[in-house]
Amino acid sequence: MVLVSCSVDAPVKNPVNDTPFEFLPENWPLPKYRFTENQISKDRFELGRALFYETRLSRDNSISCAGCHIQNYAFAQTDHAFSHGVDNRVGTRNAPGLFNLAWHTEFMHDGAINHIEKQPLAPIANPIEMDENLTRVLEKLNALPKYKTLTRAAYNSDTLTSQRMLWAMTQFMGLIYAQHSKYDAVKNNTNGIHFTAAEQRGYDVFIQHCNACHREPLFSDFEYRSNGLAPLPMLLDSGRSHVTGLSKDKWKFKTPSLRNVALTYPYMHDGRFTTLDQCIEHYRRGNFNHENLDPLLKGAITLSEGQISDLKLFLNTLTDYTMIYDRRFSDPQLQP
Amino acid sequence: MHVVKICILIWCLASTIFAQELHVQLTWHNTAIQMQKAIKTEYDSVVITKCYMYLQCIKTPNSVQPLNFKTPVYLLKFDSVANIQIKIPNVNAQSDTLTFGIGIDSSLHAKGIQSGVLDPIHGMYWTWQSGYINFKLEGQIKIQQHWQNFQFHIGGYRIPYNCFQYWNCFRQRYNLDLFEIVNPSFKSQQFKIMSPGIEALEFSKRIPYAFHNQ
Repeated sequence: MVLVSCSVDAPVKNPVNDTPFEFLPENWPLPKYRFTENQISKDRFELGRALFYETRLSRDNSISCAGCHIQNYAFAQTDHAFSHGVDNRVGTRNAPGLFNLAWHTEFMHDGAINHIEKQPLAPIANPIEMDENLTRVLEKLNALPKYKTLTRAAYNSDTLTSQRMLWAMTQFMGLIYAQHSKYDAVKNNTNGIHFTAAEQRGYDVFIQHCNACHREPLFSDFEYRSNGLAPLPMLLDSGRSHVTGLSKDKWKFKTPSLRNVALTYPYMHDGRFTTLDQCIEHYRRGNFNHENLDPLLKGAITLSEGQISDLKLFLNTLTDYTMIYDRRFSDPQLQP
Repeated sequence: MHVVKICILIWCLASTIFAQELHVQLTWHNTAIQMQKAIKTEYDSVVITKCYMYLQCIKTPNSVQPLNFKTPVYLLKFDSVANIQIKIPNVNAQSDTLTFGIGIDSSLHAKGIQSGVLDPIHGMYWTWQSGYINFKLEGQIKIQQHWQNFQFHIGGYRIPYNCFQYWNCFRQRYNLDLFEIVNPSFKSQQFKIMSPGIEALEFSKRIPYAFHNQ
């Protein structure tokens, strides 16, 4: 590791924003992952970008990370509730959006993955996703001149190892920041941008009813909760307890961020709701009788039709159009 | 004569300073195992195809130091041979104990991607839950004239199912009797453990006691 660190040029700072966290708004917490060992460089970022769009990560060379995490949708999947894997296999959970991952300490809806650098291993090995193993992935990639070139530029070596691969992918995914939404502009007093009256009312509703779990500015507290969803009979997905083995964690899933929520439909861990109206109605109906129900969700959330409309307008202000159109995050093979 | 004395002295010194090898031989009912081959004892017949384990050298004598990133980690891979030697840190001549952790401790689990023996490429890593497999044992056992496959992938670093176990090593040559580890599982008709939990925890607790001086 030391040799690798010494062998590269002085690392370029954040290739996306010139310097890491330069644009970190004042009201944001510090990220949990700070690229300390995995020093940022443009070449490593570019290697990670190529890998993110690389279908050879899958057994039959058909699926890349981007197959289920599409930039236009904040790196979520909107075509279907469950991700599709090799051989037309269908997954069991909805692909979440990818952004602000440096602020997460655990990944996946159940938090099974405990570090951003290890996250790609899960879909690569999952039989219903890429169904490939790391050894074969590296064999395939190391056989390609393209990756020799990219790896040499990034690590001054022709050989792509699992650590180099995962570090590079972390640089790409970990630097996708969603922090240029209208909400951010309002909060940062940028160019005199303000909420409309309806958006402001929606924000007030949000603070009153949603912020306890979807806490700003990241719009998640990253806790695991049972939100009253009855498990789908065909899956009986027990959520967090699958990881911890504890009955108290049964039916709990990580609170998702509401940033870019207008783009990341369908919603919930199983993608059962296709619209924000359905999500809001779920909480408005309330009165769940559910094992391990989160105490905050006892009873029901009373909202008028007008408040729902306002709330949706506010949620739309959380979309970061800069991120979804940023060509630095797009497929390098599709660029002129 | 002086040359012989000097050689003997050098050999003695070298034995003290550098003879830090740990030998581990797999056994079954105290019978040395040959990997991939059937071993017939008066009790049963068994084939061991794979036995992998992580050892972390936690501390030289007497006091267990906090684990840290520099703690030596060994991956013992028994798949073609049933005996392995590893070089271990020198032990203070005044003391006689090394403490090993069997598996990977929780603090190392929480680190980012690792290289060397901790590279996930070695097949000792559960990709679906970010956990190293501390101990992997696979093979077949003949029970009532029928061969039964068994597969034990033992790990888990989260409380209350943390399978990281401690083993105090007093000597340099050990037998690891696999029968003692798996027999309680077989008695309860359990031939497969593939994820963390209470069964893996109970299994892991038996491993340190299966090491015996040769």
